[in-house]
Amino acid sequence: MLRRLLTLLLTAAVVFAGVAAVHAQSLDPARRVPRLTFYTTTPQYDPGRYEAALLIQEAFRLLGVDVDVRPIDQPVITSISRSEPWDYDGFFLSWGSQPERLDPHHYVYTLFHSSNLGHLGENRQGFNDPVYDAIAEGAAVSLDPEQRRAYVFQAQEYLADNVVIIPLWFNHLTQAYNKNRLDNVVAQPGLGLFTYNSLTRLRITQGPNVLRVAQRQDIDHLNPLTVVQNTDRQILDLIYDFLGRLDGDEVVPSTAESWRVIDNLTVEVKIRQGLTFHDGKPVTAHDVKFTWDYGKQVGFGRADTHVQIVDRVDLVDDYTVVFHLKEPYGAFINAAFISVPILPKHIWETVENPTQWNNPNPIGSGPFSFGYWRRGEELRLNRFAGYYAPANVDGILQIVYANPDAIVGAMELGDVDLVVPQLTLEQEQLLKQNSHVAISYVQGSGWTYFAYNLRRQPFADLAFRKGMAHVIDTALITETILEDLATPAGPGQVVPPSAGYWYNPDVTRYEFDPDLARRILAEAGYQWDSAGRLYLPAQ
Amino acid sequence: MLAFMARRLLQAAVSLFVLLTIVFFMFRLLPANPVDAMVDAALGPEAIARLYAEFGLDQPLWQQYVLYLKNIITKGDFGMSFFFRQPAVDILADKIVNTLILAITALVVAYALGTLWGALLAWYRGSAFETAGITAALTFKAAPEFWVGMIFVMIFAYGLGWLPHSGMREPGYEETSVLLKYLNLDFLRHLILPATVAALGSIATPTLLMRNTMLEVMHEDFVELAKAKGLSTLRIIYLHAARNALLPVVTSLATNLGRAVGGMVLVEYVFSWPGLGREIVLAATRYDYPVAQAAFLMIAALVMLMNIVADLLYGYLDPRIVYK
Repeated sequence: MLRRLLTLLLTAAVVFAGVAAVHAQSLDPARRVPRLTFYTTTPQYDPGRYEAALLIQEAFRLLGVDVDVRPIDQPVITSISRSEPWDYDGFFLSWGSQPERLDPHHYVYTLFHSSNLGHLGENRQGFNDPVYDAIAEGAAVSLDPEQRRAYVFQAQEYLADNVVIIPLWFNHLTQAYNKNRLDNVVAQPGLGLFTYNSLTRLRITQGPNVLRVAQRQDIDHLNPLTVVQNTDRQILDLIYDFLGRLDGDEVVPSTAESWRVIDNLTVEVKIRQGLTFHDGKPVTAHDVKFTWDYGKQVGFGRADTHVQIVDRVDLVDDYTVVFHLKEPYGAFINAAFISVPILPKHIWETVENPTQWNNPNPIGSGPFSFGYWRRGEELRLNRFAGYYAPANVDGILQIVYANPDAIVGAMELGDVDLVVPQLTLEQEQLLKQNSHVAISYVQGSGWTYFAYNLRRQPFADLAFRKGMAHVIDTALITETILEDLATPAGPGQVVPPSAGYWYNPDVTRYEFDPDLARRILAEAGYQWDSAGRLYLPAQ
Repeated sequence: MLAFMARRLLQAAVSLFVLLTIVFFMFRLLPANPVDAMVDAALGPEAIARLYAEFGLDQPLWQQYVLYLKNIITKGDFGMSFFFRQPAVDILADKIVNTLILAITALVVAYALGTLWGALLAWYRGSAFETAGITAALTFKAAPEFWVGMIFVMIFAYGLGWLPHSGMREPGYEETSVLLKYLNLDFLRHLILPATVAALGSIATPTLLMRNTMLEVMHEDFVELAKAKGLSTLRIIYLHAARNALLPVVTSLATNLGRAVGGMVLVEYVFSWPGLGREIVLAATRYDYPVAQAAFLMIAALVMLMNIVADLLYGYLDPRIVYK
């Protein structure tokens, strides 16, 4: 009995030693998953992204991977993530809410197509997949919505299946306004209250008929050819008019009266008659043609891709133009029409050095004309009565407050009617308690994400990414950081739900399941040492 | 005297040149550039290349440096702000008046009260009054200005509603003339809180300086004589003793004024005062090199200038000091 037990023990010991020996032999230190470096924003700049990075650091620990989280200035993350030699493992950034991002082109094509892989290109994570390229190209070139949607849906599924990027949450736009003074307040999905739609429709029920809005950062300048900051763009969108405008989730004619897609490369646009610029000169097809010709020649800042895609603009008559595209561009109406402001030809054709000019007194044809700008203090816009759908308020006064507490204070005291910057959870709860304050909640068109370097190990390996996806609980992360002020996203969910028509709800979702994560890794040949540290599969 | 001036000015010019060079390269060695600071723009390589060319960032570093120096020396041109598309000097000029008004008001108040206060503290040396007085002055110096500012805003703006919490004027004000922009009650009302907070933050320096020099003066024979003559205490303190203790205080006012121009950041932040400090922080955080460089250069020049002024004031106030 004792001998049998002893034999058993001995056998077990021998077997165990053998296994351990094999184990130790195969665990080549060179295969050990290195300590990873993730860059995130400083907690002062954005507490959300900082906390998300720490939570994801914990998640990687479940897999036996150590992570260094480095909080640095946002511009440095931008620089590291898109510049050669792409020396990072992961980073946390965010896409903000922009009108043209309700169209899927940016999220499906620009961010993941292999043509944007190079230095300063937006395919920062280095996703290089010919199968995906074909899908993204299909989505990019099709002007037929249904056909395009099929490609966009397929793209979302492919990105989710391949865990190419992890959007953590879809940002909401949480903005406060004075409900005692404002009426008919309707937020534009994806963009919130400080947009063309809301501002032209809302009414002031008592007190002076001027809308006072609180802004955190002042504008820089108002030259539509060079503007890149969102604060500037929001003001330009009110001063200038566009061929089309977003209304809900569709693009409706504005400066244009109607448009007709002739074929994949040709679009005819009829211009609305009777429109004038703020200086009284009429808006005609000549101005539209000039805008594209001029933009192609001198460059058009943020809207550059939307003007460069056009080969030429033919003038049919004073109120009709035909756009000829260089190549098919599915986003032409949805993105280009709403982001290229129509410039008055009579003003810009005499400007020397247009990209060095600060355009101190912008003349457009939008619903509000420029009043004055006192830098660092306030900006005033006036209602333009000559607009085809004039606003209800007499004007907008944008007041700059240097710190978030002052904005909350101004709202509480009734010094302002609308708070433009996104409220934090803390501010939202503070402001909610005031009887005159209402909060507008609407989905944004951007998302905050965790991206990783697909150019090198371990993220180059799909099995690793799938394993990781099962330990990153985006729902829990979102709830912990933002409660209900954001919608949880997940791997590959790059089109925001606010984009309605283009949003594919049926993509692979990865449940939080550490055991499954380890099983996926083990099946792919990953191993752990006695301290629980992860090793890459042998080649 | 003239030789002294010439030497000091030459020294200042050399220092400024060295500073300019250091600042120029320091900003460009940072791991990001103004285009990276354009948040959330997704411009693409072609548009970025065009921006680099517009900003002159596509040139080799030494060429940028030579061009920068050349423009300053030949044209007095400090470059265009990348973000505002206006000359960097104009950007700073816009804001410097606002900051100077705030800084001068605060310093004048701090030095006027601090001097009187310090003289009194010295006279009553060793008493509980002195201990309490010094503690009060040091408390405001030690407390962060933004914290004191927030407390003041809570009490006087949100709580009592006496004064506005932010800005320089009532939003939507009528702009009449440049002078009337500053000479009106509305502006004054907005100035009170930030100026008070800034004054409290800097009151400790004149107070303690005055107290220390007064302690020395108090034992001089002429003070004893004044006492023997039976003059009132206040008369002895302020008309006889204090005048002889003022020298270091006056010169420290000059040097502090030089520093205050860029150092009002926290007060400007809390009270949304559109000042130079905030402008400089913004320029530095988003790599707007021309504005940041011009700002640092201007602050340095001002500090150096005020130091020279302080040196000259010494000679004027105390004839025993001779310049060689």
